[in-house]
Amino acid sequence: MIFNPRRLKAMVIKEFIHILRDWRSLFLAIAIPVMLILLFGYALNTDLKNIPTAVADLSGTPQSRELVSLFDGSAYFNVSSRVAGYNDMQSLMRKKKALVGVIIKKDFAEKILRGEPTEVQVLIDGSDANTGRMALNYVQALSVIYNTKLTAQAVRSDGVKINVLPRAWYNQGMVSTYMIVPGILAIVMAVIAAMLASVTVAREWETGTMEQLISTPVTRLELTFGKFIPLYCIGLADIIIAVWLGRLVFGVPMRGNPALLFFVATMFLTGVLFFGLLLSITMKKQVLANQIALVTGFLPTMILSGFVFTIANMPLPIQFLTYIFPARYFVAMLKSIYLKGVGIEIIYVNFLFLCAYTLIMIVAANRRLKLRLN
Amino acid sequence: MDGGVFAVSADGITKRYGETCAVENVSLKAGRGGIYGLIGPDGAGKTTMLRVIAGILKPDSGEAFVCGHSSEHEQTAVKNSIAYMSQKFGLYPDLSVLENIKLYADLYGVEKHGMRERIDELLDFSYMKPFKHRHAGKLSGGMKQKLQLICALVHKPEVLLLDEPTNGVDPVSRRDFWRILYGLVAEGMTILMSTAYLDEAERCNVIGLMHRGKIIAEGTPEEVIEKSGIKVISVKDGGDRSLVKRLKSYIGSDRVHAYGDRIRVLTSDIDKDVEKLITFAPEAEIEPDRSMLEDIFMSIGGGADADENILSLIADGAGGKTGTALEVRGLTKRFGDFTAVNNISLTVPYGEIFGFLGPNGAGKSTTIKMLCGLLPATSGEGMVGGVDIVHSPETIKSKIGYMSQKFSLYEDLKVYENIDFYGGIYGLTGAELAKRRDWSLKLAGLEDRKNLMTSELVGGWRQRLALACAILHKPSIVFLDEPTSGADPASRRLFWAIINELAGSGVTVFVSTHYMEEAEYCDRLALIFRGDMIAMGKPSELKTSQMQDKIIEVLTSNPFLHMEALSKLDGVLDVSLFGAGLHVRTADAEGLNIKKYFADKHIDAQVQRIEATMEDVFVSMIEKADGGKK
Repeated sequence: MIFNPRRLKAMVIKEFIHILRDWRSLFLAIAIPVMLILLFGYALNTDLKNIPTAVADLSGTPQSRELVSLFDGSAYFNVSSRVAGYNDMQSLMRKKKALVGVIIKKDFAEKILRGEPTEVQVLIDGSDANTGRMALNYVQALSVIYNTKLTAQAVRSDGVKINVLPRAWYNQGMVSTYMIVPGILAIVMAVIAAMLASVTVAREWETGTMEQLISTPVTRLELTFGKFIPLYCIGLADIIIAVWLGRLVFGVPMRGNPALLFFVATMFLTGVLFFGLLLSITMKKQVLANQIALVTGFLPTMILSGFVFTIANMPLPIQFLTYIFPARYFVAMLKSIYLKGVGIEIIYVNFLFLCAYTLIMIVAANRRLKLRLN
Repeated sequence: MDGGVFAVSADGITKRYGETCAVENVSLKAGRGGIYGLIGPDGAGKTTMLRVIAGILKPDSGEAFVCGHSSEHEQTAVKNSIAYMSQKFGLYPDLSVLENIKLYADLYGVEKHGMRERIDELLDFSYMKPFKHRHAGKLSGGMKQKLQLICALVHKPEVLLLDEPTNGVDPVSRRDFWRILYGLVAEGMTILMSTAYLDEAERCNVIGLMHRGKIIAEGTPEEVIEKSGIKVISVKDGGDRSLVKRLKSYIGSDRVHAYGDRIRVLTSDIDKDVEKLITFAPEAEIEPDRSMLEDIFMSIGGGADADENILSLIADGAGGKTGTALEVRGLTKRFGDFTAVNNISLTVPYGEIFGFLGPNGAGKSTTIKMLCGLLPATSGEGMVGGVDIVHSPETIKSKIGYMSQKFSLYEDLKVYENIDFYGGIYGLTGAELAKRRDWSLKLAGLEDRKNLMTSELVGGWRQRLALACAILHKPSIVFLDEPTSGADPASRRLFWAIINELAGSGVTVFVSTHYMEEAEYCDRLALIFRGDMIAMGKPSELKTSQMQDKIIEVLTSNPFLHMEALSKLDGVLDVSLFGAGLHVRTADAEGLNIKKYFADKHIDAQVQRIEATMEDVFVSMIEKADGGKK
């Protein structure tokens, strides 16, 4: 008898009791998703709002004022000061009173009216590279909008009505919190695997309960699944908390099929939990297994999954590296399900990779587990 | 599907760990029913044998069978017919007593029908029912062992494998444990157990004496003793502690050892040696005595020959002070509304060995920790080594040496690194540290092994290293909390020789123990029960003036069969196993009704009044303090 339901149930109950009685780890398991969502939602917010902007409008024409009002009217820029020239602008930016400076030349309006190309000088404080880059992106976006408007006006004067509005798909506001919730789901699961799964078998070896346990008829599958099931339940609870919080606090919509999300999450969760168990089984030391789980489970999920850093922007060798971590497939699928609402037919390749990973972990964990003393 | 006449058999088992051979070509056979005892020094291979038989350790060669099933190839069948109880506490401390039992019932697939009754019966049988909702981690040592036994018994195994089940368990709980074991044997169960207590070994039907990975003698305890050809002369020193030392240099250290309040001299020619001893120590009581397993054990040696060198080192570690070492009044410790230690007062001079006895959880460790300045007392006052324990506990720490119950050296440091670390803490540097390092390596007998990882040390060596580290800085007061727990008799003997030397050179030694013969080596004893000090005095006083009950010894075959009936006789207070026989505690000094009981049944039995042993005193006083629970 490889799999006895009664023994499995006994193992599951025992593991549940361990988790429920150890209120610290239980608290962490529940608190971590909440903390991560709030922390990442606010701190990793990659949107810049109200960038202090200084304007030197040397043109002083309706055309130049329209450009300035475009800056001031957007949520991203706040025209906080107007200066007379380049020198004032420089001193303002040195004092960090302005992060962006816009200098509109004297001949701005004339050139536009003549239909000639014209230039607007934009100075960006690059000392904080990230902020600088984003400011630059916004400025470029604005210039596109302004150009389009000009083109539209030109066309309209010919009597044709065109209303052109640039639009970013799926994340119209390009709100970065939208990206965060799917990423957090992956991280929460990696943390649970690292924190709870990686210590559970090792703890039994360290305290000596394993010696007693393996003297009973318990089988490897009963032991590993007995430990897996309670952790899986906690992982699912965390997913629900994360999705709900994402919606409640940041208004992140869940566009996809909840059943599909649940299905994909189950596969990932199973894979990372068995990865944690595998480490625990192999290392037999709680601290060691825990740290390796953090380094090989949590960190790649954070860095190499495409959650924080875009995979396409990584150097090629690192891009290849991302393929061996399951988080890559999971985060890609989550973004698709969550934000695009796509079905399995679109994401099945990623899903197959994830299945393969999970299967390997289950088999490896069970093979490594020896019901013998060494 | 009958496995033949043997419940357990092992053929040519060999198991190596790297260079060392734990077990070499060992074969043993245990018939159905009865108790087979594996005894032997630390590292002799007892645990390895039990693990191989239980099927949780793969031997390099050879095969073990349980009820005819191979432990290696038919694991499921074997695991269903045995119960194995590991040496370490193997249950879950965060599960309650009942939850632990249910877990094991499910793992073993105990039939649901009648399971409740079975569990209730086991709880009743072991007196554990009142504690069934308590978390296993909060049980006392004795109760933990009983719980582990219940979990092992829940599926009615045919064979019970027990690895030193009574280690660190107090005498009262140990008696209780054995009462359960005998009940199981009466039901036809086969028990294979290892033990460090030789009085327990004497109760086994068959014993296998293991030494360096081999069984060197096998048979009933009487046969093993008989075959060894060892005869014993018992010498009672009458309070002269130096007699052991003098006898050792006179006759040879390997033939003389202290045991309880007597010195035992091993001999092959009784008459000649008795004469020799009488001329050497005319004032001592000298008489031939029955050989015990203890004597065999000492004769196979276990490092006892090295002790002369070690003992000569000790004087080097002493403070050599006189006067009062420690004086405390009304020492009390409460944890919440639980009083762990209640109003203890002590005055102890330098050079005294002061023993703490008491059941698990009585408050011995808590008392020691308060005296060391590790744990602040709730109330009470006093001085330790001339330092006030309430106001300057930090200063006490530099004056004392403390060896905790749990091995507390660093396993991942090498032996000498541990010594250097503790030396560093106590402020030793340079030449002074080097000198003390050499000294402690010699004391622990680890000169050749100083580069070993501490985790690789076994048994007695660990404890001696821990002691060496505790007295590295030459403290004048030393606290040892169950220092010999789980060690084999030879290591324990050596350990006590060291303690004796320490005391001889003026160091006060506080020591707690569960071994009653060790209590005899103390100058004074305090018996602690539920936080109260219920008796204090010299061992001889406790056994005579403070002990009102009389003890009748009964030697007969299968003594446990008569325990129940004897306990119902008039005037009998308590009947308990003692070694291979029974001790009956009674108010009637002659034991006439006991003699009559055996005569009526036509059973051969030796019934005689004896002087109470320390264990009798212990059990009697605890039961009195407990209000006579039975």
